[in-house]
Amino acid sequence: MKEVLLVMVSAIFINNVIFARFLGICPYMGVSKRISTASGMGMAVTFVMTFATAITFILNKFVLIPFHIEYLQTIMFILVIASLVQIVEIALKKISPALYQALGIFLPLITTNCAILGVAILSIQNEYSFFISVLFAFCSGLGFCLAIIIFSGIRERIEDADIPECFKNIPIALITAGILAMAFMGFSGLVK
Amino acid sequence: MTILTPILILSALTFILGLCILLASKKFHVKSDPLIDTVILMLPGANCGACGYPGCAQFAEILVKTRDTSKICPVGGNDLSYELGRILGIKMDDAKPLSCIVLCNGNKTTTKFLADYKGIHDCWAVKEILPSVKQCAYGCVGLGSCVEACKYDALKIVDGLIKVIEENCVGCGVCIGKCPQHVLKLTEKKVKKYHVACSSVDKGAITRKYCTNGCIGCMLCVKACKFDAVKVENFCAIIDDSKCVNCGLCAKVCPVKCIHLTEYAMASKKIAVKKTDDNCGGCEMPCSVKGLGEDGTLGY
Repeated sequence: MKEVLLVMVSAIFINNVIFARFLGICPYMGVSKRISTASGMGMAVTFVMTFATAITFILNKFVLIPFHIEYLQTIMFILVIASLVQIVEIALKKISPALYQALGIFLPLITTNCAILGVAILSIQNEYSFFISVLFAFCSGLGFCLAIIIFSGIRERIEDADIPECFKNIPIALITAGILAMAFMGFSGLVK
Repeated sequence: MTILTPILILSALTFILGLCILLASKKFHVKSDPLIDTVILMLPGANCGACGYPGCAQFAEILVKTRDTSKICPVGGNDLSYELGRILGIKMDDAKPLSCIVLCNGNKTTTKFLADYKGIHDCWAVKEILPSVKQCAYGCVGLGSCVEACKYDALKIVDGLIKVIEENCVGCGVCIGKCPQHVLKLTEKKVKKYHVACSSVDKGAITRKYCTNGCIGCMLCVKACKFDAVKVENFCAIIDDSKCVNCGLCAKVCPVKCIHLTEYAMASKKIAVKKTDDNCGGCEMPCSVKGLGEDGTLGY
C-alpha cells in the first residue's frame, strides 16, 4: 500500500513528466492556449499512456525478454504506440463520436509524443510489476494533465495582460513555463 | 540466429499491427458526407477566418450540417452564395460585399515626421517607444504591419501611407487587427463611396500644425450636407453611410481635401490567393501532420 501511494505521489508531483523529466514539451507548448483544448490533450495523453504502458509491459515480458532482444525495445515500443493510437482513433470515431470530437486532432498527435514512450520505458527500467506499471502510467498522465491545465490557465490570463509586443505568444509562454517548473522543484526530494 | 530472430520478430510484429489497423478500419468504418468535400473545393481556400470559423473546412462542415442560410463566405460574395445554395438546395442570404478603407491621409510630404526611425520595421515595435513615426499619433504609422497579413495582395505602402488596392480587396478584415492605430476599417461596398480619410481627434489648430491633409473639424462639410449625413465628433468628421447619397458636396467644400471618393467595381471577380508557406497560422506551432488544416478535424 505504501508503495502504491509513493508511486502515485511521485508520478504526479515529484517526478512530473513535464517539470522534472522534460518529456512531452511539444504538446505542452503547442496546445496550451485554452483550458478546453489543454484538458482535451491531457485526457488523450492519460488515456493512451495507460493503455500503451500495459501493452508494452506485456510485449516486454513475453517477447523481448524470452528472445533476449531487449535492445529492440525502443523501436518495438514506438511501433506499438503508433499503431495503438491509430486503432484507438479509428475505434473511437465509431464507438464514441462525442469523445472523438472532444479529443480531436490531439489523439493522432500523441503518436509522436515522447512522454508516452518515456513512461513505458521508465516503468520497465524501474522494474515495476504490471499493476504498478499501469498505475505509474496513469498517474504520469494525470501529472501531465495537471501541468498543462495549470499552464493553459495562466496563458489565458496572459493573453489579456498588457505585455510588450515582442514577448507576446511563445516568448512569454516559455518564460512562464520556466517559472512554473521552478515552482514544482519545491517537491523534489520529498520521496527518495 | 542472433540476426534472424530479431528480424523475424520485428517483421511479425509489424505485420500483426498492420493487420490490426486494417481490421479496425474495416470494422469501424464511418461514412463521411461527400458534400462537405465538394463545398470545401468550392470555397476560396484562403482560410482567412472572415466567416467566423478557423478555416474553409470548418465552414463547409457547419454549412452542410446546419444548412443555415445566414452562413456567408464574405470573400466569395453573392456568386459563391448562390452556387452553394444551389448545391445544398437552399436559398442563401445575400452577401454584402465589403471592402477596406483607410482612415488616414497623411503621407510623407503632407505630414511632419517625429523622428528618423531606423528601428525594427514594424508598426507595433514603433508603438512601444513612440506615439507614431509621424507627429500625428492617430494616423498610419506607415511601416506596413498590415501588408504582411493580407492574403490577397490588396495592401501596399505608398509614400509612407497605407493604400488599399480596391480590385484585390475582398473584405476579409484580417488586416484590421494588425493595425495598432485602427486606421483600417471594413465598409460595405457601393458604386461611389465617400469617407473621411482622417482619424485625428486633436483640435483643428493642433492637427493643422503637423498635417496639411488632416481633418480640422471646421464644420464646413456639416453645413454643406443637405441630408444630415455628416457630423463632427472629437474634431473629426464622420459620414453616415445610411444617409449619404453620394452627392459629393462635402468633398467639394473640404478645405484640407480629406473627404475621399472611392469608386468600386461591383462586378464579381475571380479571387486570387497569395501563396504562403504550409503553416496555416491556426496554431502557433508548425504542425508535423501534413494537411492538418484541410482535413477538418481541428479541435480548436
